[in-house]
Amino acid sequence: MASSEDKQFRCTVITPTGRVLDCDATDVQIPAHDGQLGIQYNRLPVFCKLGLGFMTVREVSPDSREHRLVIDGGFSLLARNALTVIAYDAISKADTEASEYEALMARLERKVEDAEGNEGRLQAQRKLGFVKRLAGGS
Amino acid sequence: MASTRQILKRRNAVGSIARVTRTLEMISTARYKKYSGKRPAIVDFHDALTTAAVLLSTAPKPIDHPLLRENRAGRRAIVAIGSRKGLCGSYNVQVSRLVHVHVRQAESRGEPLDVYTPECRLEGLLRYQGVPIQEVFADLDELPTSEQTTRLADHFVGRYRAGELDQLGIVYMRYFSTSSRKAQTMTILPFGDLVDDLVTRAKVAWPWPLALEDFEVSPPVDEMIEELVRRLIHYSILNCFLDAALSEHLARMVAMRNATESADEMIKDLTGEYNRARQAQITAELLDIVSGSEAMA
Repeated sequence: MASSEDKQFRCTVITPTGRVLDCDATDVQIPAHDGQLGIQYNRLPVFCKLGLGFMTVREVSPDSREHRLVIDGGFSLLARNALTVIAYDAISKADTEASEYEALMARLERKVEDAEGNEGRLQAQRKLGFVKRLAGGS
Repeated sequence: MASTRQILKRRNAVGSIARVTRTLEMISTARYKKYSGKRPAIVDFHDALTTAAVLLSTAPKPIDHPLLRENRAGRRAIVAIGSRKGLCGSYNVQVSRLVHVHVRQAESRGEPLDVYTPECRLEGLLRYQGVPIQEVFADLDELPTSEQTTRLADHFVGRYRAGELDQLGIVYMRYFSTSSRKAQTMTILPFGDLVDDLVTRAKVAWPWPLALEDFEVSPPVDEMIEELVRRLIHYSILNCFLDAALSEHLARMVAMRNATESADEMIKDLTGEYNRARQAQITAELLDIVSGSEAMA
């Protein structure tokens, strides 16, 4: 019987500031533009636009570590068991210190205040909500 | 032979020049390190966007989008990125040579060419050489911010959509490695030409033997092409500015290092010359004293 390690695929999250994640995974959920999309080994090729939301990655590791990130738009490309998430912005809980969260949230709060138009304000508010939930671990 | 005072004056002047060139080298080294730290991430992201664009170019039916259509306005534009400051060797001359190639090509086609530049040394050089500048983008940083890049991209995308422009290219100094850089043109519009250009530049343009029809695409291509096109244009422009900045600081580092080495060598020669002159002066004074005392005896 094939073990979970045999049913793994490569998962890479690329942002303009660098690679946030590059690991082998068994189970990934991405925030597609129209809702969450689950990806497992040998899924059919998919190319989709991303929205704002959580991305969860179950890494192939002895403790099956789970990564959680907030993704803010981009594209996702899956082919031949290689998932590439091209994210305009990705905030990873593992890489963000508590002090950085405060600065990030302050920046997002300012963005909410400065946003032009309702759509921009709502988008900034939603992002702030996701980052708060990521920081709070919920 | 120059007097000791003259030699000292020259040595001090050369010393001051060496201090300036050493400082300029240090500034350029710091900026080069800053930008070269950012480059791998931006290039990686740009390559990933290119992969997505290449996938869309494998669509069974040609995608209909205003930025993919070829205009017939009979007008082209280039944005020529020169160095922000001087003292960087032949940097601006190399970029201006390529601008002249475009100008000559436009003349032979009988089509007008609009030349744009950010605020840089190249502007003065081109004006001196008789190349008219359509507009100088004075509000661009050395490495433009996201807002500045978007504004610049929107300016040309708007003109292309309105059918006023056939082609947009960016003439810049492409950075290959610490020992290699070359003036090149990246075609930004029409979008198809940009993708063709990027395919030859990306490390891996399309790694799988799959076409768009093998993919589950969501939302439909028509709904996502606009965003992909805009993002790829944005990061292509940013990439050009980043390469130009890296090349400029690298060119200045090399030029200033050579200048500092030459100044140090000159100081060494002038010190030797000064010592010889001083010794000759002392010998002459001693001879005067000896011959004077001999005459008195």
